[in-house]
Amino acid sequence: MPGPLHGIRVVDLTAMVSGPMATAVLADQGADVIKVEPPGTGDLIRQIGCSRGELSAIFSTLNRNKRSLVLDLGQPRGLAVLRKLVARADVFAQNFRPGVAEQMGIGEPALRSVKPDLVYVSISGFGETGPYSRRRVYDIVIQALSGMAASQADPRTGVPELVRNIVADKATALVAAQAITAALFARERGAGGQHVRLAMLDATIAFLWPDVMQAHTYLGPGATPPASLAGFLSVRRTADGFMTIFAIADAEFAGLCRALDRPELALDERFRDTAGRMRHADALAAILDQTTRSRTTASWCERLAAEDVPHAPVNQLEALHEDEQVLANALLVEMEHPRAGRLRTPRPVARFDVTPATLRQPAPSLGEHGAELLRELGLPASEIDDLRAKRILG
Amino acid sequence: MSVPEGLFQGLKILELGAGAAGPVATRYFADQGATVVRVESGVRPDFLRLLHFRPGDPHGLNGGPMFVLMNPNKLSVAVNLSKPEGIEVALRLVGWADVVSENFSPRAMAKWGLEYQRLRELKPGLIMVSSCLFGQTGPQRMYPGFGGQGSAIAGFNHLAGWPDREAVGPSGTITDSLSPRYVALLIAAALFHRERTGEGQYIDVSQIETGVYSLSEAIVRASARGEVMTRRGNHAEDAAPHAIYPCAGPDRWIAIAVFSDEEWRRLCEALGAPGLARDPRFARAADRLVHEEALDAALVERTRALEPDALMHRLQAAGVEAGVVQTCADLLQDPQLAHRGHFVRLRHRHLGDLRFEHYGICFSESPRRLETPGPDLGEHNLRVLGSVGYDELEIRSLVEAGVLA
Amino acid sequence: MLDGIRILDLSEEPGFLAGKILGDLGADVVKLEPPGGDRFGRRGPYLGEVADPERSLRWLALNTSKRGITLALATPRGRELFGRLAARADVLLETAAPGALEALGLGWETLRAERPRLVWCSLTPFGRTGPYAGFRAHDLVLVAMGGNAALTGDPDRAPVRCTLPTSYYAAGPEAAAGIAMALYARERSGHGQLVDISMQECQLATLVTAPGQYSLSPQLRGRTGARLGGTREIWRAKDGDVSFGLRGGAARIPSLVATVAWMAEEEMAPAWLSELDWKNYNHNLLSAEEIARLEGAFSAFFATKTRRELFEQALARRIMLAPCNDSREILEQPQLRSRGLFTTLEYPEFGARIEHPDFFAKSSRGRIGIRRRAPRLGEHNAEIYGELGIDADGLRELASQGVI
Repeated sequence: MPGPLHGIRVVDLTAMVSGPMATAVLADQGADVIKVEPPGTGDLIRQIGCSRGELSAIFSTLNRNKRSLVLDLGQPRGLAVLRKLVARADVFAQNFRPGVAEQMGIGEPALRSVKPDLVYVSISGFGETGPYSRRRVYDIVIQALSGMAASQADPRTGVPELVRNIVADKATALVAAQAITAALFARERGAGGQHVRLAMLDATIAFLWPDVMQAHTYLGPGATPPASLAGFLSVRRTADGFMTIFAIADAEFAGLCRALDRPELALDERFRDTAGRMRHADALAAILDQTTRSRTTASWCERLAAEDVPHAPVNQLEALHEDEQVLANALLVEMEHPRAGRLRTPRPVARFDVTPATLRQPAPSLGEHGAELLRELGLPASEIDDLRAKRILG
Repeated sequence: MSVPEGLFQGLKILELGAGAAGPVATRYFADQGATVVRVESGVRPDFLRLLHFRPGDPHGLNGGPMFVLMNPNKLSVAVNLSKPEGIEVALRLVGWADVVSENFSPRAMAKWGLEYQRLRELKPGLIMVSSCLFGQTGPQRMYPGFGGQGSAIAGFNHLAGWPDREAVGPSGTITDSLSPRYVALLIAAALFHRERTGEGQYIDVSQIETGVYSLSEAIVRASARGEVMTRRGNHAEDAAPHAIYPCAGPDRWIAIAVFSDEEWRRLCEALGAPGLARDPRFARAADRLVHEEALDAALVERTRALEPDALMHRLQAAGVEAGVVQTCADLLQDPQLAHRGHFVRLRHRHLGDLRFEHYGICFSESPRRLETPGPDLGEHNLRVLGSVGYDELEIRSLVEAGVLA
Repeated sequence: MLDGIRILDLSEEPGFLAGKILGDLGADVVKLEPPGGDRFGRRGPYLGEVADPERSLRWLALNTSKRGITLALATPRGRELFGRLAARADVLLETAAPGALEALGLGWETLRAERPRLVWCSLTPFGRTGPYAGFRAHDLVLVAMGGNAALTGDPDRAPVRCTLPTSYYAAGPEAAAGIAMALYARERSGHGQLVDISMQECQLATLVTAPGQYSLSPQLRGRTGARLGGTREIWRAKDGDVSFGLRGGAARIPSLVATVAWMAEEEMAPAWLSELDWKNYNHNLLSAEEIARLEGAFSAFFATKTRRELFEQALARRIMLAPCNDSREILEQPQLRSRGLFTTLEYPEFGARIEHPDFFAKSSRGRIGIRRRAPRLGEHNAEIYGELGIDADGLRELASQGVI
């Protein structure tokens, strides 16, 4: 049973996270993603972070279901091979700095001449034009620029903080994946190919906007002030750990008062309705803090579950795979990687009941599928050998 | 050395209950030489005896075609179990039997004092099988449904039909044709066990559970990946074309199933459609699945004018799986079923010539046999009761007292 | 009940259930696959969505209670090993096309000479001989040729089958029954026999004597969709479909009366319905208008209730109504759970646990049910070939030659 994107072929020149995570979603959903990497080290993320068998864990999660080809695109024959690949592809994706793809001869106009209905995807850090457009970008740069770091400021000290994961890269990738699929859908209905462009800065600000920027959404006077989200978005300390608890709806708050054994809270005017609870979230959080230290996490969970109050223990990372709901969802899968050994990874998140998304191949070694791909293109063995001898094929 | 008189020659089975589920199971043994005695009630007769083509049929309880067709090779005694003398007759028959098979609702047998614990005292090596919708235990065991409800609860209905319409369920209440095979299997296995050890046993079969067990794949897929399987017409998950296509003639159809690219090429060739074979949308299996609507439309164009039987032969000769959708009329003429001796003509005293059926097993050493059609109610009172020690006088007085009724 | 009986199981998908039934009944089932595995039988969907034949959920569901070995029957050494394995088996179960095993010199006639006690069960689409014996058929063709498809589905659409292969599920217990019967006969006669099962023939039981009735009264019953005969059988409730019959004779009447009483309590029973004389109700005598009127009243009522509400009341009021359950609902069904129908099997190499339906019956003599999980490819090669005196070196050699 093929996945929903079966038959779609992607030539993927992206590297690191913002592009590869997007093409990984497509690959999981059945697309044939050909990852074209530069000679030498290939995609830099192969070398970053926890590794085994010469494969970083981040790389193995972000590049499963893909095939790898190493081409020296600085050589005319290397470029010619790439053009042959694109001629049979539906999507081409790159996340070089703006201008670089054009210089390399793989800009949008050049490749559209090879495949008129190509969906060409450009992911940039800051945008194609503008004052920062040619600068180098990393996630932390975007976190700072986009307001992410400001929104993470410690409420007591006001010192900004970064989110401790590469959220800007990942948000961009998920936006890109949907945008690529939308462009393919439009093409299916007769719109032809097109150039799809997105910037990490834009994706991150848009990601932040709904809640973080609520006080800056309505311009001019007359809007009620927002509640501080700090009280709502905080963690409670228990006798033996941490958990989150909150009540927004009336029934939830009634249940909370019963679970805490604090019936008098139900009469407190500040928390009388949803708006009030959100407005006085800090105060409610402080009250909760007084109470929750007296019992263990497990004890609170039992009481809160019985009263149907939204809550959860803070799962530690090493115990994530043991959570009973995570197990029930069969989310985390253990499999063998031929070089890296046994690993754990999430299955594709969205489940399709007719066209399932499956894990078909492990993340590739550098250039693992070079010969296979060139044979598919119809190149004779002698030419493939020659390209390899000349280091045009890695 | 063959056993020409039947695998179960000499075996004695006492059957209580009604409908299809129980009686179909004991037929496997009746057709192989066992003596199967049905204990029936004239007061509350098997409802299959009441299903007639025309209401007010003159043959009444003995003219129900479905009953007759379902119970060949069996003997019938009429016993009124609401009378203590009737229970005594039943107990005498249990003493005679090797196997007791019943498919009443739970508690019925116990209400009559015929539960296994009691019967085992009478006959220590007895094998007894109870089969009912939900089994002998559990909070919903007294649920009063028929086989149609059983199939629905077991999940078969949901899985058959078209995705945009109500569940239809495969024809025939699956639990009535499926669970009897399990009952037959269990009786045979219990007999085998007894041959080796001398031990009898009691077996509790829930028709719904045999259904759910059969659908293990659906349950495992739900548990392992949260997938709720549902109906999808005739399409397969990983093969195309895989559907039923219209042929020439009113309501004539052919099933075609292609499982490899090689078979696809052969199908195109056999249909005289080289263009189809060259169409890139259909070249490989995964592509055929993606473009299944167009694929089916293209094939309908080519099958709709063809005679189904000839088409089936042509495709099969070319190595392509194809089969005519056969009606009852077709089945009665089917040459393969004739070769298997599936249908046997027997004369019934009231309904005339009837085509009875065998089940699906041919034993090399023991040809299956159909000798007598379904019995009249109580037809064998004399013979059966005589063989367990009642004399004619006793039998007559039991009849007059309304015990044998 | 079948403890100590060794079954050599060569079957492909149509025979999976038969071997599982016998294994769950206690037989020692040894499943034989080609060295590359049964690719088609081990197809997706997969546990954890990883495309790996060892994770095939169909395979895991239908091959419980079996041990697994590999063997290439097409090689001379493979045939020799097969002969030795068969010599230690009580039963052979296979689904090969008629003639295929004979062509390898491994047919029934050959082996019975050396092994007169062997019970050989051949499960084929149409039987081992006859004009269609060479026909190829998977489930769809069998359901068509066996007569069931013609009666299933809507009159304005093609005949239709079940999503899962019901023809295999009919043949499975039939084959298991045939094997058990042959084993019983062997206890008395001292020798085995060929048990030749036609899956097409097995299908006809689902027609519940329809061909015989047709021979009496030749009216072809067409497809009636959600109806059975002239009356509706499947109804739309608020949240899905339910089964509820208007036909069925005297036994159905108390249920109909109870339903109307419930409708009356909720003021949804029209006067004519409340006043209907059910004692003389005979669905065969109803006119089309009367049927439509009845169906209208019941439809309107069922459409206002969820299936859970309907079934709860069906239990309380003894109404013959049932939800058309899906697999998730079956896993939560209280009666099935109370009987302990579902058992959890561990798959530690995948970090997974899966619920399976455990048994198909309960015996006073001991547990019927899953003995072990489905085998991995060649998982028991060492154990089984060890019985033949082949050690680890021998296995390595056989593997290098492609024999296992």
